Amino acid sequence: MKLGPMNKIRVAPVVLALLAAAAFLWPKPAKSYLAQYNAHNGAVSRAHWDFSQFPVQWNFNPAAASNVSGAAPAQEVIATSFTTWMAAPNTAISISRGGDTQISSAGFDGVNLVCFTCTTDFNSDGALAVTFTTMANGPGADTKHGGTSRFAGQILDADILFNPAMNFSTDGSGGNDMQTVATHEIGHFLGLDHSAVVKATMFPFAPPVAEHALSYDDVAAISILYPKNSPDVPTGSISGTVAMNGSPVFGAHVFADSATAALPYPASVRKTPIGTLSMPDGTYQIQGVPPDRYAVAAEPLDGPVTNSNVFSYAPAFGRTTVQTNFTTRWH
Amino acid sequence: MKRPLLATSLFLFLLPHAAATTVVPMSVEKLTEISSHVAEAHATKSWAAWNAQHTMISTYTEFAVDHWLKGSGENAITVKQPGGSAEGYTQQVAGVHPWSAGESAVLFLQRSPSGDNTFTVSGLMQGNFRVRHLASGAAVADNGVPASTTQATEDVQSFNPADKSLAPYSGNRMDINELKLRIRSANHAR
Repeated sequence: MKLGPMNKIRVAPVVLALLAAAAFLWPKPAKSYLAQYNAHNGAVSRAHWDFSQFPVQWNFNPAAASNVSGAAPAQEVIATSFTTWMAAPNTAISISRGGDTQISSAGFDGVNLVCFTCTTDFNSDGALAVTFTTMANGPGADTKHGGTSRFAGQILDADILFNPAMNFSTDGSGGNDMQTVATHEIGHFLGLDHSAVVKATMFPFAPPVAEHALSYDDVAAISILYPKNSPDVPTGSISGTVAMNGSPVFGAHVFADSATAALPYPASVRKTPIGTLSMPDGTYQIQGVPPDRYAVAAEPLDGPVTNSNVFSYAPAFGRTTVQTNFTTRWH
Repeated sequence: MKRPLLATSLFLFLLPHAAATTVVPMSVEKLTEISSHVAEAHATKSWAAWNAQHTMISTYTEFAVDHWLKGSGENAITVKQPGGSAEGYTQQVAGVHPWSAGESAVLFLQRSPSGDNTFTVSGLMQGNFRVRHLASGAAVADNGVPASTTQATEDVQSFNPADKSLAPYSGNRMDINELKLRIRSANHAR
């Protein structure tokens, strides 16, 4: 077994057994790695919608797309994909389908476009779909809905453009599975960044099989962004510090992996580890963790998911990249 | 209890047949083929601005070109990416990573269709191989797409829990000299 540089890395002791019924949700921003971040004037916030300010709707461009096949209408597949996130345990999301639109380009226009024929000004060879999100850098920005933004990181617009040059299937009969792609892109629509947890919906690279259900990692992320007042399943947090040779490690992927066969979430949710990234001071906090017994590991974000895949994290903290000069450690 | 490397096993099964929900990984050879220009360059400055319709923000990064690996052009070029922060708003596109001044990269480029004398990155973000230097002194390049770079072997092996075997782990980094060699070979083969 060939190991990398044997620097001493230490994951500070953490709370392994979570207490049911107690939800230790820290109010501090920027603790869950899984969200997209907005950084402005030195403040870092997690991007998310405010469903109480204006109705959030998605609008389908019905232009006939020759790259779509299958018996199910594309708009129904999109609607089902949105429902998947709205039905996530412990989560309160309010999004509905608005009227169809003829808008054919992404942009901050008050319309949350879903389109299979639209193109962009950027070379998107190889991209199955792209989601553009627009957020306010602070209060007072025009929302395009007759008001002004309430906080930094408030998402005001999101557009999902499927690549017209790629083939999509609505029923698994061939081509890229539309619902799998749509569910991933809607995660971005809602404010989630990529996850380094394999088998999470937000993992940037997936096997070529349909996967429509969310994972524990996805549920943890979305339920922290949009918490339900009365959670379906009580959750807690696991926190600690990652340090190497006495110095904090920034951007270590820290994940909690269940050590039991327990299934605290409904069977429709796929059991996976739940992860986060460490902060500039080495601290981490894995939130939205259901009651169970966990082993916790810190690993470098050096593949398959890398700094390049979590596009908003390091820049939000004034860094260009995360630290990867250590090897994986379990505790 | 310390069990190094087991985390690698979590993704062992996915790598050989990885497709993507966001991108379909392209090889270095394919990226070379679809790009009109390939440059080894370093960023000198960056700024963001809205388009004329005030609907889309783009980030413009000026690069000093160290070497043209395919095509030729000016010593200083501007590369346009979707997203950025301007006038109270931020737009983001998952996977598109901004550059900072001083960062080095190998860039697979195409002329922007908007005719504004800028380049765009081939494959949205796949044609952006960031270069960084390891403690050993070696320079590696990484575009965050596992299947496009298969030559890296540095310091980790993969553990397969099914048969308890260890295998070389091909991450998504490669030595920069290997990357340049593949680009030149692909270009000459056309």
